[in-house]
Amino acid sequence: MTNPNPSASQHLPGAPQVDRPAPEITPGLEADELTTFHEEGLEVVARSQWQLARRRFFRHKLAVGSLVVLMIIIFVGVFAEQIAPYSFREQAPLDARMAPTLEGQHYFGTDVLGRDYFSRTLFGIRTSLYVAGIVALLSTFIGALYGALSGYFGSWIDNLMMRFVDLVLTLPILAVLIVIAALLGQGSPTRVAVILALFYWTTLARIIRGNFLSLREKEYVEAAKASGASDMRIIFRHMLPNSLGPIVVNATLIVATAILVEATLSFLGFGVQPPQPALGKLIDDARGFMTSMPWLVMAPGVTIVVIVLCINFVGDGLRDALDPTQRRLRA
Amino acid sequence: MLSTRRSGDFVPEPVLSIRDLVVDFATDDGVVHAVDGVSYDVYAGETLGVVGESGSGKSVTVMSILGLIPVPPGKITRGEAFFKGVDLLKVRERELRDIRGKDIAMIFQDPMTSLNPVFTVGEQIGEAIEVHDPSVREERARARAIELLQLVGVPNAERRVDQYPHEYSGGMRQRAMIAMSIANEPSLLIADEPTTALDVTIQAQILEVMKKAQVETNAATIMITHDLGIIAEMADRVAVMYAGHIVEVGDVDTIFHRPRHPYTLGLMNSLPRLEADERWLKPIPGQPPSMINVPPGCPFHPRCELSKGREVCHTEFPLLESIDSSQHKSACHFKSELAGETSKFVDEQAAS
Amino acid sequence: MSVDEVAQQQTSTQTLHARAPRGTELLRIEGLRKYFPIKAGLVRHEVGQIKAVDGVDLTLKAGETLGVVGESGCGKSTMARSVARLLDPTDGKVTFRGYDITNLSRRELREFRREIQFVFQDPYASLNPRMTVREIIAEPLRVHGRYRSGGKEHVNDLMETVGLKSEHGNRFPHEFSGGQRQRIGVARALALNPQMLMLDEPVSALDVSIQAQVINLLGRLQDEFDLSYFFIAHDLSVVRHISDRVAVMYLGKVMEIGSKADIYEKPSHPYTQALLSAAPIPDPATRGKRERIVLKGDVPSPADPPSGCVFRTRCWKAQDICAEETPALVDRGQGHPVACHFAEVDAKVIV
Repeated sequence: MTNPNPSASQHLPGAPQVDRPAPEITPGLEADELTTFHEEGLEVVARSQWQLARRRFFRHKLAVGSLVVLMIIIFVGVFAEQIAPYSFREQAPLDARMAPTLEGQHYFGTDVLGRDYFSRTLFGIRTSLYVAGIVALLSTFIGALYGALSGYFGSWIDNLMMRFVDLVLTLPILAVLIVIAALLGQGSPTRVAVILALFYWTTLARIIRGNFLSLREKEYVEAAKASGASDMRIIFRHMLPNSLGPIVVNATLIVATAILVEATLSFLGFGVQPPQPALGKLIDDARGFMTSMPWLVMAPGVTIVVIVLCINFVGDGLRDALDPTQRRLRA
Repeated sequence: MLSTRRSGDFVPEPVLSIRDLVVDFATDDGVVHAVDGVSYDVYAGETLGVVGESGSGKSVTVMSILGLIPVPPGKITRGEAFFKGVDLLKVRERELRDIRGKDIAMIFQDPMTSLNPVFTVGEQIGEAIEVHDPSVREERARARAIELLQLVGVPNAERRVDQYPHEYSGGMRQRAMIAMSIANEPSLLIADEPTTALDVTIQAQILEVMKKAQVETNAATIMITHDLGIIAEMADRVAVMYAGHIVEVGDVDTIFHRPRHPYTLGLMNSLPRLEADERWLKPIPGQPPSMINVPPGCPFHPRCELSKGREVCHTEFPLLESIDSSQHKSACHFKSELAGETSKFVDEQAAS
Repeated sequence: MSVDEVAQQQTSTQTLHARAPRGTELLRIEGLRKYFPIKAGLVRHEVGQIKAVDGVDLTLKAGETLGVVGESGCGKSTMARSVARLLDPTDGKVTFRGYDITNLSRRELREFRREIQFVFQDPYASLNPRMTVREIIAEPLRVHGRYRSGGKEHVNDLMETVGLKSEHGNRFPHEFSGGQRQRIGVARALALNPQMLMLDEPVSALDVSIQAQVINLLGRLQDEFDLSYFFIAHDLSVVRHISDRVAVMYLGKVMEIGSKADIYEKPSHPYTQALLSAAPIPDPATRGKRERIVLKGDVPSPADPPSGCVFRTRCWKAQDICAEETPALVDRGQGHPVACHFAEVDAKVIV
């Protein structure tokens, strides 16, 4: 890098010239002002955005606590086979109708047929989480993509796509599911999950679309355009990564909703096919025995409540942590 | 019905006297010392220009004495702010609000933050009038509002008085803000970057109006800005702030023609010129310091030519001291070396 | 452009990418218009238009800096974006090195993107917060498939050139100050070694003491890399310092255009005169000594610009002819084009 030639100045007739010698190579900047804000001071640790977000999340005790509980529940669900003392369908008429007890490891008691409720609950957790997980993944994928395209292209494409979303929103989930169940009978967890996902993608689509409408005007997107980047590159490389906040938050909330909806469906008899236990089904099975064997309702019921609450708290914490608005001090 | 107070008598007591103010903000990375021992006085009838860049603390100083900073994370660690004898930092919120409404007027950069979009401009000016003098009747308040709008140069004031803020342009909103501030007949007028968001031709208009407002009210005025041109136009005295400190203070001619702090001089010399050509600008090297890990000694030393190789600048904090026992003060260990220095604007002006 | 022209263009990309000799015409803007429709009603039909840019003629020569100055609403930013094809012009013609780029498709424009790069105003919004600095600067290279061979070193070089340390390449934008971010933006703009940069208020959002650093940097880079600048700003002092020629815009049109000396020492158009007299000068000795022209009123809405000369509503020289006839941008004896029926022929310095 050479110094610019000081004699190549533009002399304009009439203007008083103030000639100064050309400045050094890096006029005015010490690049190490970045981490060391001055020579003798302490180094302020540079933090990436993820680290900042993580820090913010861990400030929410409730969210962190809920996360821990959730982790435990997920662990339990995944390893239900190994943990459950019994299989979910094993019937032992002799041990029927037992209240929760430590005897024989029937922590949640047994039902009319002598099935261990603890085991059933564990498997129920697994099924419910599986369905909810699939719903969240699928609906997030569809919703984010749909919203991104709609928001990015705007104008009539956006109009059309959003009207379709409105259409989907008018369909009553329950009614459709009942009809399908009536036609095809009760289904596998996967089928239930897919159908639910086909309804739940709309919320995220709207959110992402709104996000993209505003991101489109951001200067760094313009900069990408100015470099000649293709639309796909801009969407996937530049805009979607900046929408991760709402995506993640929405996904967690979908999980909560899906668990509840699945529970409702199973309760109504239109969800997962028995004898596969789902938490809702467990409650349904116990309907007739609410007064005589209340633990049959309480176990799955409380589990649902705990899972949903925890997810909501974690979602709150995430929403706060991923909030990109950094407060800058104006002096 | 405008007050006929006029200056002419020498008023020895300052309207506002800030003494050793320290304001801290708690952040993730540590405590930010936004204002780190600031003292200045403002007298009736004068305009004190407070100039500094972002991070200098010029806005936080006045915001904190008015109770406008969020108190956690902000904290007024120490200091006093006497307004007509009352320490604003010690009064209760309610009293402070009272004082703010009646006797202190504020003009901010974005008038939309102070103008309520659901009330007409006339209603808001009227409210300011009524706060100042509760005995004023509604029709009288409205008439007065029209008077004020005319004073500040809003065309068609009789019609405009019933319009909403969003129907006004940016320049007109500032005029409305100024009208509201005059309505109070304040003793203290604080303008924080009032024209930064405005075009230069509109800015010229607004500065004229502000001069008018100052004459009308004889208020002590604090003009906070980063624009040295505005300071040169409006201020009687100037306080230069850097990194939460006042580094130089004096009357406007002295500061511009005989600056004695390397930051002041450096700032002036780094500006491009409107009326002359230069080959290269002479910037101040480096960047404003972190307000969390304040370097020991002089906060400006990492960027200062005078401090090169001089131990004392790294270790000892320079106090704001008088130069030749005058009102001109500078916080620099080597201010005497700058004697005779003057900004390039003055240089050329004298030459041509 | 016809198919033949496109084909011819593809074979002559060599000439496109070779550096234009100094002084030759690089960019030509003719009759550029950009109107934004105002939609209202249930069916969102067009009820009016915002005439952001309303007939602009400008040229940029290789190696020079053209400064475009004007207040908010004058259309300078819109014009810059229309020229760089970030927006599509409503009318008019933009020619780069002889090639008409006004209506080219995205694909066809790609070659030109290498030569015309953009530097944005906002140091906080112009960098993708989720990408590292290195990725940001490398992005234009990746888009054009030029990162594979020597891309990494090139990015490091660029960082050093703009005054940053290359080891900081793995950091994210929010860890840098405003001035440093603008440097990153400039480095990104230089990645493909363009012939010209469009700079839209590149220093307006920076602290005063940092502005000078970046202005100096831009000056140095221009010499070093043989760049031409299309420099848009509202600060008259900055424009004076960096420009060779200056165009003054108001409400979508060019009012006056000339060399630096023409505009700043012999301003002929009343608006130029008003602008110069309104700009504050940091010297209290000028108080009361300057001839202050304070314009009446506010800027009219670009949705409903005045007929004839758009400046007439605030002009002290306005007469009937100003409403009837739009003054053309021509030399009326001053030595440079002015769009005013009553332009001063022998203007004096008013600062």
